[in-house]
Amino acid sequence: MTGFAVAFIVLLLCILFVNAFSKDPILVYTILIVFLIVGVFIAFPLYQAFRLTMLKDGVFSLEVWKYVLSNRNYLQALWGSILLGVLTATVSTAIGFLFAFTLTRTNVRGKKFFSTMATLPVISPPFSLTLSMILLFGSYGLITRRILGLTNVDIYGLDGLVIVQTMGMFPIAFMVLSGVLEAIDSTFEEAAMNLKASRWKVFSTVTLPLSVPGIASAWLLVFTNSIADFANPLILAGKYKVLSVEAYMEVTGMNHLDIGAALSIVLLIPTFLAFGLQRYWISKKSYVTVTGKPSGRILEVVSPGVKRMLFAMMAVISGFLISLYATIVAGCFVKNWGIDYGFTFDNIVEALQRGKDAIGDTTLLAAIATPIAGLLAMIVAMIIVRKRFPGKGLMQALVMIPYAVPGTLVGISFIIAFNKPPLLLVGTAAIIIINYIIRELPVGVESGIATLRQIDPSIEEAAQSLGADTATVFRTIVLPLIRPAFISSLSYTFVRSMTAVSAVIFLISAKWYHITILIYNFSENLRFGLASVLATTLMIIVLAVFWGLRFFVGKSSSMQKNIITR
Amino acid sequence: MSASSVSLTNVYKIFKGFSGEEIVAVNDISFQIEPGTFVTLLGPSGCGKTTSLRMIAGFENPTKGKIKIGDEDVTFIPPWKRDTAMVFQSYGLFPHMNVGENVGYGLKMRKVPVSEIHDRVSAILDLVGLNGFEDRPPSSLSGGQQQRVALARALVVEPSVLLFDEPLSNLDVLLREQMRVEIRRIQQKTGITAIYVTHDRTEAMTLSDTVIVMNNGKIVQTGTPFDIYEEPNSIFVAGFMGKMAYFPVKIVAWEGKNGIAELYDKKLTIHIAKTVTPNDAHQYVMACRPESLKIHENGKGAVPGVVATNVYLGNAIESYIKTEFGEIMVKSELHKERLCPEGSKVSLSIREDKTILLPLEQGIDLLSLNKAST
Repeated sequence: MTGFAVAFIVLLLCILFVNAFSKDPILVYTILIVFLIVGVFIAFPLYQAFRLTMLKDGVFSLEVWKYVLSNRNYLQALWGSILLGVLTATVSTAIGFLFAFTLTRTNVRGKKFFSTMATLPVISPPFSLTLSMILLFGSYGLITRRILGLTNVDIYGLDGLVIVQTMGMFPIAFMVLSGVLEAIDSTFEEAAMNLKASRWKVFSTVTLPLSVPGIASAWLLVFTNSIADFANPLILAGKYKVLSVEAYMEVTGMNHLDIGAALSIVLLIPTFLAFGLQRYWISKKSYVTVTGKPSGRILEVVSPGVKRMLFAMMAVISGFLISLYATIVAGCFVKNWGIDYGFTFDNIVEALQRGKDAIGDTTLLAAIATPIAGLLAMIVAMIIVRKRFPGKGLMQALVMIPYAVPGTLVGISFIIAFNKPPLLLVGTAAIIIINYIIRELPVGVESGIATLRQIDPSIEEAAQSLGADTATVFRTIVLPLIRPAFISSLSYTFVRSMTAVSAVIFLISAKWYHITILIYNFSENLRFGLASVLATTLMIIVLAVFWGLRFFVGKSSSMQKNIITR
Repeated sequence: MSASSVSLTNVYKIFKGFSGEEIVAVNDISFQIEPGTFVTLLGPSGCGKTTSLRMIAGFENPTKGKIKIGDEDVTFIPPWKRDTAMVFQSYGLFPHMNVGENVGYGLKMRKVPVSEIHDRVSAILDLVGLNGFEDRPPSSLSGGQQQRVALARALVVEPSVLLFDEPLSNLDVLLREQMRVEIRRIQQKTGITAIYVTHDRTEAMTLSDTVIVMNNGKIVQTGTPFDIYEEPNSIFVAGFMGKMAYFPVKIVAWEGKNGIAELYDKKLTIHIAKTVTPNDAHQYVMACRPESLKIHENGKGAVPGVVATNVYLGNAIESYIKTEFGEIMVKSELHKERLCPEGSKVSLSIREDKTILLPLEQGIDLLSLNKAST
C-alpha cells in the first residue's frame, strides 16, 4: 500500500516512455522528471496524510473520522472558519468593489495612491497587520487604553479577525473586480443613459448586473483565502476556534498527526466547493470578454455628491491601513508598548541579534528555492501548453493542487510522508526548500501558461524547423519570450517563501529556523517591539524585491495578475 | 541546394476529439513530388491540407503511413532533424531577435561559422529585396517585409524541401499578388522543391506546377492548374475552382470518352472527365464555366430563361438568368447596346467543347447546386 502512489506513477511513466521515446528523448525525460517531482512531493504526501486518517494502529478504521466529525470542539471550529470566511469575504468584496468602481468609473483624484493602497496589503508579511491591531486596539492598545482609557476591551476573537483579514484580503477582491469593471465597455452605460436611464438606474440595471459574476468570484476567492488563513488566527483568534489553528494545535500540542491531518482535510471541502462553483458555474455566467479592451473613456456614472462620498470612504480605509503600517514601524522604537512609550534602539539591536540566524536561514532557503521553482514552473508551463502526451491532464491537476490545498495540510502531510527512510527529510533544509517550490509552483505555472498562450506557436515551430531541438527552443525562444512571467514568478516565489507561515511552521527545526515563526514567538511572549522590528525587516525585503522587479520588467501588470490568483 | 523528392504513402492522421470521438483529419493520402517542382495542396479549411504539410515538417506524427524525403524515411524523425524549412501564415518571426538574427538562426543551429553566417544572411536578404535590414526588429517591418524575412530565414539554410503554410493570407490583395510572383521567381531561381498549402485557387493556379486538391481528408484530384480548372473530375473540384453552371442531362449514347447528351430537344456531344469511366448506371450532370455560356435574344440557344439581374463589373457583365434549373450566371464581355434588359425572355447556348460531364453524386440537388456555387 505504501508504495502504491509511487508504483502508479512509475507505471504511467513507462507508458509515456514507450509512446514518445523514439522521437524526442529530452522531452520524455523532462516529462518523467516533472511527474516524479509532482508524484513524490505532491501526490504522495497528500495520499499519506489521507491514509493516516483512515488507520488505527495500522489497520483500516474510520475511528479518526468518527471522532473528528462528532467532536463538538471541531465542529465549532469548522463553523468558526466558515463564519469568519463569510464575514471577511462579504466585507472585503464590498470594500474591493468600492475601490474598483470608484477607480474605474469616476475621475476622482489620487487614483494612483488609492490603487497602491488597495494592492499593497497582499504583499504585507504575515503577522504585521495582526501585530499592529494588537498594538492599537489590544488591552494595552494605544487607542483603546492610552487614548480612550478603556480597560475592558478584547481585540482577540471574531471581530478582530474579520478586521485584520479584511484589511489583508480586500485587495484580492479589488484586483478581481477592477479587472472585471475595466472589461465592461462603458458603451453599455452610455447606451443606457442615452435611453434616458438615470445614473442610479444605469448603475443598478447595467453596471451592477454585469459585474455580478466578478463579484461572486471575488467573494469566493476571499472566502477560500480566509478559510485557509493560519497566521492571523494563530495570534488573534483568542478563544474563537478556527480549523487551521485547531489542526496545528493537535499536531504540535498533542502530537495527534492523524487528527490534525483529518481537520485540515475537512478544511479542504469548502475550498473545493468554492473552486468548483467558480469553475463550473460562475465562469459560464460571465458576460465579460476577457480580451475586451478598456474603452479608455470614463463616463461619469455618479453624481458629484456620491463621488465625494466614495472618495471619503476610500480615504478613511486608506488612512486606517497607513496607520496600521505606521504602528509597526513605530513599534520598533518604543521601549515597552502600552506601558512605557519612551524612544529606544534597544529593540532593533536585540531583534537583529536574536533574529540574524533566522533571517539568514530564511533568505538562504528562499534564494535556493527561487530559481528552481521559477525554471520548473516555466518548463511545466511549456510542456502543458505546447506538448501532447498521455497523462497531461493529470500532471496539470497535480501541479495545481498546492494552490487549493491550505498550507496547514501541506505542512502536516510533509511531516507524515517524509519522516522515515528512504525519504527522511524532516529536520533538513531540503524539506523547507521543497515545500517552497511545491507551494509556489502553481502560480508560476499559471502565469507561464497565460503568457505562453498569447505567443504564436509557429514561432517555436519555426525554430524547430530550423533545427532547434526541444531544449534549445526552450532556452533560445520560450524563456526569452516569457521573461516577464519568469521574472515575476521568481520574485513571487522569493517573497512568498520569505513570508510563509502555515506550512513551514511544521517543517522548521532547531537547525533551520524561519523569520516568520520568530515573529510569532516574539508576539506570543508579548515582545511586540522585537516582533515589530522583524516584521518591518520583512516588509523592507518584500518591498525591495518588488521594486527590483519593477525595474527589471518595467510593468507591474503581470505581477498583479499573479498575486490576484492567490 | 539539393532539391529532394517527397513522398507520402497511405498516410492517415486521426485526432481525438474533445468527447473522445475520432476525427480523421487525413484519410489515406499518397502522393509523390518530384525534386524541384512546386506543388500546391489546395482545399477548403478542414480538408487536411495543413495537417499533411505539418506531418511533412514533422510537427505532427502520422497515425499510419510513411513519409519520405529523398530516400530517407522521416516518418518518426523530429522536425529539427529534417531537412525542411517552413514559412508560416503568421510568419513566426522571433520577436526578441532582429532581422539578421532571425535569418541567421537556422545557420547557427547548423553550427555554421559566424563570418559565414553574416555573408549568407546578407546574400539571402539581397535575394528577397531586403538588404540592409539586418539590424531592424521584425516589429518595425510591414507585413510584406516580415513575410520576406520569414522566406529568407527558411531559404538561407538551403533546405531540401521548402514548406509554405498559407503564407500570404495575412497580406492585403495587392501585396499578395506581388509576393506570389516573388515566391515563384525565387523558387524557379533556386530550383528548390516547394510544397505550398492554400485555400486560394488563384494562388494555387499561378504558383504551381502541380495542384493537389483535397477535401474531407482525401485527395480528390491531382493535375496541372490547367487540368484542374478545365477538366475537373467532380462537382466539388469544379465548384471549388470557380463558378459553374450545371444542367441535368440524359445520356442517349457513348462515343469513346464522349457522351451524347440530350437537353430539351437538342443533342450535345460532351466529353466526360478523364478520370471517370462512362457508365449507364451513373447519373451525370453537364457543367460549364459562366464565360462559356452565351445569351440569345431569341430562342436560338438550348435553354430558355428570363433575365433576372445584370451586374456591371467594369470589364465584364454578369447576367443571372432564371431557368428551369435555377438561376444561372453568364459572364460576358460588355456590349452595352446588346445588353438584354432585366425581365426579357432569352435563351442560353452552350459551347460544347468547353463543357464537361461530371458524375452526379447521390442526394445532390441541382437547383441548390446552381445557387450555391460561387
